[in-house]
Amino acid sequence: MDLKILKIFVVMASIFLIFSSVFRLLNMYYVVYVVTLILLWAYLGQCWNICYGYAGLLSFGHAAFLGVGAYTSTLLLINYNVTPWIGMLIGGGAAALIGLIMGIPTLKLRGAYFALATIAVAEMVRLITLKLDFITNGPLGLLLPTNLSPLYFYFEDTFHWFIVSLAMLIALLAISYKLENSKLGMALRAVKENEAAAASLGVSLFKYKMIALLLSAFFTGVGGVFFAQFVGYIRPDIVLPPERSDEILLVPLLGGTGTLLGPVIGSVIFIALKHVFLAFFGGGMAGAYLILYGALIMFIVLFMPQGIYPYLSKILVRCKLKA
Amino acid sequence: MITLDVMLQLLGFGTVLGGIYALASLGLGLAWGLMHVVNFAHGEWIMIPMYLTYWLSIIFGLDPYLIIPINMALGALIGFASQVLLFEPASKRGGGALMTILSTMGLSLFMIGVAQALWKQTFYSLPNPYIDTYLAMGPVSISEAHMIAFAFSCIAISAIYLFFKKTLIGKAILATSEIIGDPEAASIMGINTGKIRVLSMMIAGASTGIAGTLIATFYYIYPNVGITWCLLAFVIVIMGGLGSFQGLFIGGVIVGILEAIGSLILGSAHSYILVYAVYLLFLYLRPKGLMGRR
Repeated sequence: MDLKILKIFVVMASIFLIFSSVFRLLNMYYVVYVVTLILLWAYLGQCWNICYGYAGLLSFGHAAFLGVGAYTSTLLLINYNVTPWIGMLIGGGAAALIGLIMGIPTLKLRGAYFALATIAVAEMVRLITLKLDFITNGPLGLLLPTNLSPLYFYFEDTFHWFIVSLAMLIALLAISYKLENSKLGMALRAVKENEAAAASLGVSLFKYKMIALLLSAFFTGVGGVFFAQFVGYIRPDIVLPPERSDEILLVPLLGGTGTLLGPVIGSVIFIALKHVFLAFFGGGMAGAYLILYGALIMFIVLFMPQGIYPYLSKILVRCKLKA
Repeated sequence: MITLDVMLQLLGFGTVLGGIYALASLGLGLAWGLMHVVNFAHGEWIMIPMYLTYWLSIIFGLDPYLIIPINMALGALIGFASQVLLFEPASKRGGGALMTILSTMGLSLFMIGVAQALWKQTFYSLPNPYIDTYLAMGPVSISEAHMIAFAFSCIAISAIYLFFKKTLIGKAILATSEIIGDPEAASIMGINTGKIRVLSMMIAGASTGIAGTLIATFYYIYPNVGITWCLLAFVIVIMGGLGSFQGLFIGGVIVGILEAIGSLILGSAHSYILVYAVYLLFLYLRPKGLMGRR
């Protein structure tokens, strides 16, 4: 890992650390909670980014991975007393299995077919979760036990949740960086730039796309386990609805797809906007969020397809030049 | 117990439902097959006419079938606005076809949000005399609302088919299509492809207007109703094959029967599990569909 990216990671982590430490010392735990949410969404956004930003796979169904990860580890915890630290791996694996179902029929086809499969699989997973109510408790969902210890992925202090989410995000970003600069990353970039040319040079499109999809699904599943433990309550309309998929894809779109820091920037803006909306409408106005998400997606497509990242890096470069 | 009578009822009802589904997917098939716009807002294009049908028939006491022309105009207007304000600029912005798809997703969320804000998460159903009268043919009994919708669907699809095959404008539209024709060759021959694209999107919108009116006569009306119909339309267009009119009917009937079987096995709330599973199998085994051209 070269020095420049290491520096960026250290700076980013320190900003988050100092910010939350200050607010923790001020006993303003709500701010720490919001920062944790920002990190969680940045993490999920980066998962989606591996799919779209690197491999050019447009997914409308990441909620399926999130939900399957969350349900798998929670069911293991409730029924077999398996610690979610292990459940994370199993949940991620289960999510990757769902990724396999999406990928096998569609990754050989070009165009919109993958997007169509993701939305159908996500809807299928939601319906099956509702149908298997003797296991999943149907629409009522599952309440996680609260008498847990850190050994069982539960912390009393919001600050500890923050530390875990920061560690997860940094780990994922480091893995993504490795991925970008590996043979796999180069192959994926080649596939995204020009599918036909890459294929003619002997790049196996199916294999590389599948690896990207499985990685993305696995890490989203792991994020789902964090989500379940952090929120303490999972329900199909919390972890599996189409809106959740749209929120996940909105984060990297806002920040800038195909970049490492895009999802982090996007997540800051996304959570901020969400809280402004919460302050204005207080959950009273139905549909307000969907209007916001829809308008944002249309705005980004029409006026800044690269997201905010290019503008921000331009400003940074200008500052450096002046200094 | 599954007896012969139950089987016949399933087949009969599935076929009628399938015919209606064919019309409900026509708009999506046109937008995708003719203009390469994979329209994730298709379900919401159906949802808005459903609400208009409800309000017009509640306030003015209009017969739902008299509202079809109004909804066609509304649908065409939605198609026009979407194409001119969103799809065309999005496709010109670069970033590839995926950006256009994303823009349709944005439109879909926006429309659902507006519907939720205006009409809340309430389930409306249209009070009309047609849904409670049943037509019985032997063991098969189907409500009048479904039968009339089926008839309208057949007429509308045949009319649009004839429009494409027989009229000059229809032929120009087919020539401009990326899958059936060749847009570059068409523009060299003097066809204004930009205008044709707007016109095709208006036809797609008008067909969702008819579909929305008909669906409103037998289905619940609520803001998220579009998600189901949009997915069904995708399934049908893929199964039938892109760019094929006969395929729409075949895909529609398959889905209709599958849904009937699914609701028998899994219960009506979860019947789509079976539909989506067969859809994924289709994508794997025959992605170009039964009657597809590619």
